[in-house]
Amino acid sequence: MSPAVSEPARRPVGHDVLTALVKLQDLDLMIREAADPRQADEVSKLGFPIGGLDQLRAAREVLAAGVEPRFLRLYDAAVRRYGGRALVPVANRTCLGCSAVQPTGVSPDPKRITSCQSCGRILYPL
Amino acid sequence: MAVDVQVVLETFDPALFLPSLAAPDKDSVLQELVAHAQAQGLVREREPLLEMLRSRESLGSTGIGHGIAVPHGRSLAVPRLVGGFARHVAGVPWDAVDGKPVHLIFLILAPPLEQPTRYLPFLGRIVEAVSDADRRKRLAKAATYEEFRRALRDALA
Repeated sequence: MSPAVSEPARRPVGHDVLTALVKLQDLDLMIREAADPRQADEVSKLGFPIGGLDQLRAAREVLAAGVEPRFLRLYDAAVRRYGGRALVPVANRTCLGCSAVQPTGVSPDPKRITSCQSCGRILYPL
Repeated sequence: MAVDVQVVLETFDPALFLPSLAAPDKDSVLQELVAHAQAQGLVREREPLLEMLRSRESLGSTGIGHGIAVPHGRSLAVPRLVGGFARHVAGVPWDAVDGKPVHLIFLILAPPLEQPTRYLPFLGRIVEAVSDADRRKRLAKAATYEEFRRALRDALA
């Protein structure tokens, strides 16, 4: 019997990387809000009990592990610099994080990871 | 910040009024709602949004009892605050706080940042609107978007 060969983990590419980073940022935001006692209390008072934070943190690790390290580094650096907002929408070639108009040569493409030429945030075409 | 009635009403998109959902479980309902939102161009991408709503449910069920669920959350895939309403006549299991099936579903989606910030106050207004049994009955009877809008307006008044 031949030994079992484990397949290498599939890492997302192109559009999938951007989607994975959007998921990561959404999840990071949710974890941050749920871990903030004031915000968690506000939501609980509305009738939505908050629990399962460890489960979300574990899901976050799995998600992050699936992103190519160079993109994850780019994301983490922007998160640290901009208080969690590593990805920002871009509309009409304008970064909605810093309002800088992107040069015509830097065309935000949903199939590629593009950073704002001014602030360095990752651009998400709306 | 208080959110006035008109803003709440305008946030509920007619394209996201689904009076006869029949999906068999919570995840199928979420998939259907998100698919509608994307088909109507209200959200940029389906997958991150669905993932966000599932994560939100794992944090704690959004079934607040009395047959009501308010799945909600923020995602970069959402350009602006969006509200949707769906009715599930048969009722769908939602792990609600009272363990009962859910019949009325209010979907609330917001971008990560808004100016002005309306997301949480908006959520509060919806919870308040369904806190009364008579209001819930009227919302449950709404067969058209206009009926829903009138019932919601009166519930918020």
